[in-house]
Amino acid sequence: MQLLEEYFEKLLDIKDSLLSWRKQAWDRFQKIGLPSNFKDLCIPQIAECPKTTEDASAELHFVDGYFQKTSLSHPIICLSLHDAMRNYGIFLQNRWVRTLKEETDPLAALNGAFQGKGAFLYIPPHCHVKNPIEILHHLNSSHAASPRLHIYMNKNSSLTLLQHTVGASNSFCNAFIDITLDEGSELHFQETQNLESSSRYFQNFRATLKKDSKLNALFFSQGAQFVYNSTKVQLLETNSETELRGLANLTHSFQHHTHVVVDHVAPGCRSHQHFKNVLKDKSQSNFEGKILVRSAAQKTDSYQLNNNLLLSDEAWAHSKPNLKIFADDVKASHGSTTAPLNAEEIFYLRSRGLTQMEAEKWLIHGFVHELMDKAHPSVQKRLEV
Amino acid sequence: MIEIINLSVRVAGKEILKKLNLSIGAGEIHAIMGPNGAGKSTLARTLAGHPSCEIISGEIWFKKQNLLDMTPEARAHLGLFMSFQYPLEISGLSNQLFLQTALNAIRKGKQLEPLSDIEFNTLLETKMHMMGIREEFKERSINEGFSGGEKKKNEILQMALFNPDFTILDETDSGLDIDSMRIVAQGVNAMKRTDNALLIITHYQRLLDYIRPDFIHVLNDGAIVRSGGFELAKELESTGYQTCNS
Repeated sequence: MQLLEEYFEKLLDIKDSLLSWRKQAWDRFQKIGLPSNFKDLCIPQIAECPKTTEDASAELHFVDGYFQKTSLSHPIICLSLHDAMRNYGIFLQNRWVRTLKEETDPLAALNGAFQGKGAFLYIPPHCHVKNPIEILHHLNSSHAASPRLHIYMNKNSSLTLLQHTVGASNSFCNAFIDITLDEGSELHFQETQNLESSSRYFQNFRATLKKDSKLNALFFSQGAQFVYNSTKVQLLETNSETELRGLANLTHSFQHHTHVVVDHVAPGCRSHQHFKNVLKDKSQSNFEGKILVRSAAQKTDSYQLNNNLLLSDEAWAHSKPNLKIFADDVKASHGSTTAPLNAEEIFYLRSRGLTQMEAEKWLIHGFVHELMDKAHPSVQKRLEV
Repeated sequence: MIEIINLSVRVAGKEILKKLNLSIGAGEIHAIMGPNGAGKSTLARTLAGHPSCEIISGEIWFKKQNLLDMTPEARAHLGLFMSFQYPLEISGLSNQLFLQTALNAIRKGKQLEPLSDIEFNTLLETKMHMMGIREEFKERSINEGFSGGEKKKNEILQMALFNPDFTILDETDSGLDIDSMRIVAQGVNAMKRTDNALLIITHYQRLLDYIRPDFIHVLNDGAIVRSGGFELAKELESTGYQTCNS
């Protein structure tokens, strides 16, 4: 904690337009504190703004948490947070305040304090962005990158966002994404990572949904030393809907943490969660999912499922599905399975001439395919590599 | 073609087959009948190489090779096929891709060239038509959402594609209505050659009215207690298995 304080003090710059936000985020972080499982985190010193810019084909490019540039143009607005605060503050301030008041994740608060150069993406009303927008994060150093992205989808707009993170060895990333979906808007978000086995990657993903809006997110991970993905979605107004899915393919001694909270605030909303882990070697997964149905959220339809496939005796899958329901007319269910490959299925395939290895490969494919099939073609290509 | 000699098998610590002997010649159809728990399915699973069947003693010879030394896939490559009593549902793999992969694995085992996509499709469509299986079953996951009858038809479709030399039908008639049974039987009969053999495992005589066996054996408490011709099925139907115990 003392070290983090030193980092923070070094960051403070009177010319920084986000200075007061940083300070408030730091206060929030100190209030939350680091839970015991994060005590040994050893957060490295804060990454500095890279001196040279790199070319990248992605529409939004970040290096070590610093927004570089965008190739997006009218009618889409994409600015640094610093610039956005001046002209689009109305869309941002509200979200900032909420983050500072309600945030319970220490790393989300810490991102607010340590953020590099964040970005703001705004999709105007009725704008249907045809081609997917790519977000590319390069983590070139072993210092702590804190990329931050705020997205505002205005009324009846639609967009597909594909995020990809490339991490050098020993990279450390604490990302934060905040999304507001206004009435009738729709966002598809898909994420992939190409991290080194020594990388540590944290992401806090926050979204609030207004009337008739829809969020569909799909998180793919090939794992790293430590990957932590915390997702919180608030269904604030009626008839909004979210589908959250994730697939982690883990090897070595990788640790993968998925925390999901879906908060049904308004009546008549739908949520669907499906997270799968494939665990080899000594890898570990940890799934904590919560569906919260508030008393006003009647006619909620929500579902949560976690499936873990254990391919090694030394792999561990921890699963904590959780329902909290305060309304009486709702459909809410959850489930969790953890098992090795089915021996009878292997025998069936072998009796049809496939070798043990081929049979296993097919069954693993069978386990992952339903989520892989939902990947955007360019995401699928990335996953095949 | 098949020689089972003094076969004793244990499953989950319990001896199920006890010094069983059975000989099946090329071109012959044999049926094994018997009460529940007699060891019928254990015999089928032992022939196919299920890892839960622990061999205590005995030999199984097929085409001059001892099957007990072979993996399940090696047995399939050699020309053995077992139709499962409860075919498994495997999600995420299309039935067509599975059938093509399996057929080519078996062909590779027999040192034959794999079939091209076009060759395979032509063959598959002919056989599916023969079995009365609808086109849509190609794209579905293996047996997923298939009815009991459709799963059994899918098993016989595999038999028709792989063209095995020795086929074991484990309770293929269970869960089949009379029309499906007729189609399944037609499929099996169409595959009959003078140089292949068939072992039918069943509780009831029903299926045997459509696939007429040359020999019938009664299995009880892990051993064959009586053998005879087709007339034995009729006798069992009226008297039950009790009279076979002595």
